[in-house]
Amino acid sequence: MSFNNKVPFKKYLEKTGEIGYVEEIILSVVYVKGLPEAKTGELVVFENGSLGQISAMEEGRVEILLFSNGVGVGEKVARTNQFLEIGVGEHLLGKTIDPLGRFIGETPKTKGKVEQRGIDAFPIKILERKEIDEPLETGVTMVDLLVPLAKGQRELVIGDRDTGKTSFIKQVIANQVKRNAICIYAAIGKKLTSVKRFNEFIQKKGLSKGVVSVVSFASDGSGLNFLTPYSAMTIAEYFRDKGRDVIVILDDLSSHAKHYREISLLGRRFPGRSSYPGDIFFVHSRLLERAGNFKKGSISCLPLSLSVMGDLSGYIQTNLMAMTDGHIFFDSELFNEGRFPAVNPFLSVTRVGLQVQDNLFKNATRELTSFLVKLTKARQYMHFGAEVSDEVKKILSLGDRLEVLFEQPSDTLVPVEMGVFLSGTLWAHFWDGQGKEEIRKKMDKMIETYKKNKDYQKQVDKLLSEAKSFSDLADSIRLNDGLVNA
Amino acid sequence: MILTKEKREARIARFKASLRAMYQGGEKVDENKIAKKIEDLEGLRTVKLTLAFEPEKKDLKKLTRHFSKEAILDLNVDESLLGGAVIEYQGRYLDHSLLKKIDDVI
Repeated sequence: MSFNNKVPFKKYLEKTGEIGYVEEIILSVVYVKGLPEAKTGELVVFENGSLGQISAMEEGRVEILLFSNGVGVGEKVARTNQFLEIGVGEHLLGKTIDPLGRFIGETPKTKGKVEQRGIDAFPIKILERKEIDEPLETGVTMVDLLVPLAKGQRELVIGDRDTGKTSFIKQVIANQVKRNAICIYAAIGKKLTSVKRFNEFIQKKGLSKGVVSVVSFASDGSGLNFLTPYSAMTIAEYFRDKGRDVIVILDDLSSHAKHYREISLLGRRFPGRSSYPGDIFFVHSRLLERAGNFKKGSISCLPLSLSVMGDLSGYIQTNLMAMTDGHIFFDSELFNEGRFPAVNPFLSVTRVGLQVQDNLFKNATRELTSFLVKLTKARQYMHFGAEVSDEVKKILSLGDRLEVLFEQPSDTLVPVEMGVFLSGTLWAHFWDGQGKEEIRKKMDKMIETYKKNKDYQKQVDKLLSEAKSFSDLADSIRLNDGLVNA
Repeated sequence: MILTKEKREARIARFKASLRAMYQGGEKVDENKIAKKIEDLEGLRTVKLTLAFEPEKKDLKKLTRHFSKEAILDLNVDESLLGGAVIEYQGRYLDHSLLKKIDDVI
């Protein structure tokens, strides 16, 4: 059942023939006497048109999670004998809806079929799944080269507030919608302004044809906030069944956990670590299990999570790490140093991203990572003010230039091929002795040429496909230096 | 037998008063028996009946003739029903009003 209009209380009362009366209200949790045949998860309607979902039962009364405000004691409640469903279809593209499927802003004229789907679906079984086999390009060089992702992967995006997580997400959306993927953005208990800003970004970049936003605001009750990611996943499943590649962004699961904690504590369930309820792991894992690579379509999931003062060992954070296939850590220290994106390559993990890359790519990732380790050591050594050997000097200066390559403003996208190619040019010593700004300018120009000039693109791609290893690539770039100064 | 809420309250109060009187040295009564009676009264289930008119005693007798158990009658009057009755018992809801019948036809 989806609710675009006011809910007819009388109709359901007569249909199910059962009535209950509100006995007790604790914020978004309501206790109702009556409704003898209620089932958990069932939707109920209040006399004033409010909606709720049955969350638990005790002797003689049921506990209901409220989705709106304004219910009074003594109010009548009717069962609906239905579970929460939303209408999904192509008409959702470019629109913003709330977790119950009601449009925010203009309601579109529905074209084509609208399918009703349950919000809390069961994850697809193993036989319908398949191994992850295709890379997922983010358009952010640092992530594509050092923490590569794959379609169907679940990658946690974690970091302190204001460290560039949302910018990264926007880049992923922009890059993937261009590649014909569908992005579902779930904003959980967000500020009105941030949702508005996101929608403006979508409009401005012309991404509406591939983005659906499911939003709940900070002013909505915990019940609605709690439902948001499940609704988003349901929409994702619709597009997956249509054979599309879908990316679900859950912004963010830390606050989702807090909303669920609120509901649980109000329902007098026993508090566990940090007062979260015992089933907080299951609440998230049953959601993330719905993502993956399938025989038809894929759902990649990028849940966001907030760390506090760079601490990754919080309860919810470690839970989420246990459920996902790796995480990208946005380091506030790097961010304060002026690095953007502030991804910490040593604390970031990708568990399946590497297995789908070709040999050259794997080789490049390994080479770059081991170089970064060397670089960090060399920099630590420099702290002692020691006189350094030529080799260390080389490492340090190459490191500086590599940072130029990784530096990327939030409104640009770099094709992964160009990322590998440009790091190849660094290894081929093309930029030795040049200033940072000069390098940046030239690299940007090359990236633009790659995007626009088909001929140039072909040449670069050919070079990449012929190279067997990263050092091999550097050699062949040296021989084809025309490509660099083009 | 049918009681109203008020009658039940009055009976419970009377039983409690007799107990209190005994404790203060009055007439001796069977404590357990009275406690049981109070419990029974408190455990009675409520039937909520909504009618379109204020019933007289004989009407009520007719209406409640079919009740098989002892129950509390919560009587309400709602003239908008036009006729018939709405019955609620233990979370069950039955609408046998004239209003609904007219609505169904329309």
